[in-house]
Amino acid sequence: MDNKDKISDTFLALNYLNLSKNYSASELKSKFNINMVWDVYSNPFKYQNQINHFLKNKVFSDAYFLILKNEGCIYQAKLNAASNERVFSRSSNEFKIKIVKSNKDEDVYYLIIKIINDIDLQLSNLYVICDNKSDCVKLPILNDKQAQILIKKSDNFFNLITNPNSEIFIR
Amino acid sequence: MRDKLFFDDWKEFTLQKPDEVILNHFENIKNKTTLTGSLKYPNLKEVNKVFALFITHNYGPIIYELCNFLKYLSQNNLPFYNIMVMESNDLLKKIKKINFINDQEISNKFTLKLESYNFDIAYSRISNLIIIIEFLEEILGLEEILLLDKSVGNISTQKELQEISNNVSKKVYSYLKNLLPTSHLQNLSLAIGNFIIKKNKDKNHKIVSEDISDDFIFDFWVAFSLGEKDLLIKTFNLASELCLSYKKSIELIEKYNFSSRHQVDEEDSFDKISKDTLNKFLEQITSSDEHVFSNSFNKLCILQSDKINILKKKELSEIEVFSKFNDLSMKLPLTILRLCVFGNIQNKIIENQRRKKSDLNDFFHTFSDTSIYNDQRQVIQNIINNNSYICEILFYKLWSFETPKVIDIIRNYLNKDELIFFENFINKNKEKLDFDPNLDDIELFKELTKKSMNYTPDEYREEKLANLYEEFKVFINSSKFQSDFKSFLNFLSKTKKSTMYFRRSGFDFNINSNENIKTIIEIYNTLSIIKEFLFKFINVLNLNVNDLKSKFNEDKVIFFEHFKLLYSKEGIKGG
Repeated sequence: MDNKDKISDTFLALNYLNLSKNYSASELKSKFNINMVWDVYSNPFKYQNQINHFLKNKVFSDAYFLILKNEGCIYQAKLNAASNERVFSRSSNEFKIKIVKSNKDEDVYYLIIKIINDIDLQLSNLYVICDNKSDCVKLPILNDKQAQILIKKSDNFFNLITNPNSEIFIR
Repeated sequence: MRDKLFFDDWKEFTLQKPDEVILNHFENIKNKTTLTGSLKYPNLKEVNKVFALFITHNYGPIIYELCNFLKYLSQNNLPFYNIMVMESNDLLKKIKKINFINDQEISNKFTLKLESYNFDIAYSRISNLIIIIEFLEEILGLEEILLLDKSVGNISTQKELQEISNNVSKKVYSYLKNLLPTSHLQNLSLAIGNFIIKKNKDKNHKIVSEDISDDFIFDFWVAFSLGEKDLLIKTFNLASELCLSYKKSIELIEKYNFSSRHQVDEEDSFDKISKDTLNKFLEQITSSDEHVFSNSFNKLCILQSDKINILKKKELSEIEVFSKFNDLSMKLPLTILRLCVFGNIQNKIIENQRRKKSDLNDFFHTFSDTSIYNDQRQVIQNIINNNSYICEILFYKLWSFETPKVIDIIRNYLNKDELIFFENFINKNKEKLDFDPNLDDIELFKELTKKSMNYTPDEYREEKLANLYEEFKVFINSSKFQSDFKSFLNFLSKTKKSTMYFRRSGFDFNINSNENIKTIIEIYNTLSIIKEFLFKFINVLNLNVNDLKSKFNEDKVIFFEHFKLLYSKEGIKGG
């Protein structure tokens, strides 16, 4: 880098600083940043309607699950030796999951979650992630450490929760 | 959303996107909020410095420091996002606690240890490192930060850490390298640099501050205000502002001559510059508003906006140019004069054209018997005189309110003999007040320490001044004072009369209250600074231009000739 370039860099810095005094951005920022991810993590109810939209973004999803893991959640890893393409029951030492078909409607299934131990965390959502695809459902209030959610076979969530390669987080 | 883009007012050229992209990045950082919604960086000084650090490609050493910091966090199971979302005080407490648990000692720094490699980071650096990571997130995106955190977490040697740091620096460089060359500001800078080379007829000419002279600025404007160039700088004002800014850049580079930091391939790039030198360099780039003249000028503008009219609006607009260029004004006084005079004339021509009054010859004829350079110097001289007059009145007010501060400023109103008498008085009493305490006396030492803990240095000085003033009051009332300070007493009596007619809207100078006295002292200091600066400018101008009248006539010919080319129907129309 020669003298002229160094002068030019300094010239730019001086002028940008000067211009910035009266500048107001022409467009709002749309990129994800860590503060925003943290805000979503800290206020799950506020973002309940947007979380699935956010999770479609890989960067958001990576940062979000990193925070979830670090800050505390209950978790099930991938099932390494699943014999079927779809699994309807899985368990870890923290919680069990069972997916039961409805007798009345072929498209409807019941997702039954049973928490095994007492837990201090406030559990508001269930997240499923598999190969960069993720989804989230809101948990109803637990009754006797158990909750039940109606899910549809035709939904993306059904495909993910029954996929043995999915990881599941509850927080 | 705004209706009009910020750069729409820049009539001289159409600014391309990159400049806005850079300013948007900067603005996003400036507007960051904490989790509670308040501004994260209410004092923008550090943010400005980090921004300047990135634009001048000096980020290498800081990114390396950040990588060390991230590794330290990772070693201590503190996720990286903590530094971006936590309140900095909470983060500091957390790191201090970790450091204390690890090292069992209280220190002003913490140390990353990797095999035989140690890297110290002072706690005071944390706030700066937070801004660096915010800029990296803004420039490279969150994805890169996640990747950086992951990579830093996995390394175990200094070499690996250095490689990661160099990679990040390369990415920043590559991003800015793609963005900056297409910015208009870069084109302008290139145009000035190339014009200097061209004028020197030497490709290898090393650009120095003296290259930007009054003549150079005029020639640059002439060259870039006409014709079919990609870059048209039609007004003399803009050409001058850019050249003066370029001159300042040259001077900064001359003063802080260090190798470029963006040579990220150099393995030891982070060692080549001391943090102090870099910080001083950044300080200079970001401190134009802190210049003593700009500061004083801004204070008067604030008073003006609060409807306290110490100087008239017109007077303020006459000296505004100095607040833009501060000390540079002293280096090229003729350009400053040309800006005030011909910049103004050019604005009038543009305005006349807009109003379809385009007879240039008639317009030029109105300047045939004038010497506006002289007039302009007189305008400045009048402002100096007016400042002096107001200062005298303010001094009288302080005197009549028996304010100890008068001891600091009375010298300005004493003649030579009186000054000697006054200094004698001060020296005699200084010994009495500034006694050298015996610090072996433990009781006295304790008492002084206790006292100094209760005072700020300013308060301590104020107390001393108040004590001195008590002595001074006795002195004023002595017959010796009445006989030795006759000229000063005459001055007081004359100023007393002027004070009776003195009015300024928005402020009652007759109220003797602490708050009022504080304001009067502040206004006095502000006006004194402006007065001294303008006085110095006039002296420099007189030294540089022997005969203002003949210089104006000379300049009139070349400027009017060029205005004709720019604006007459016969002339070549550019831009």
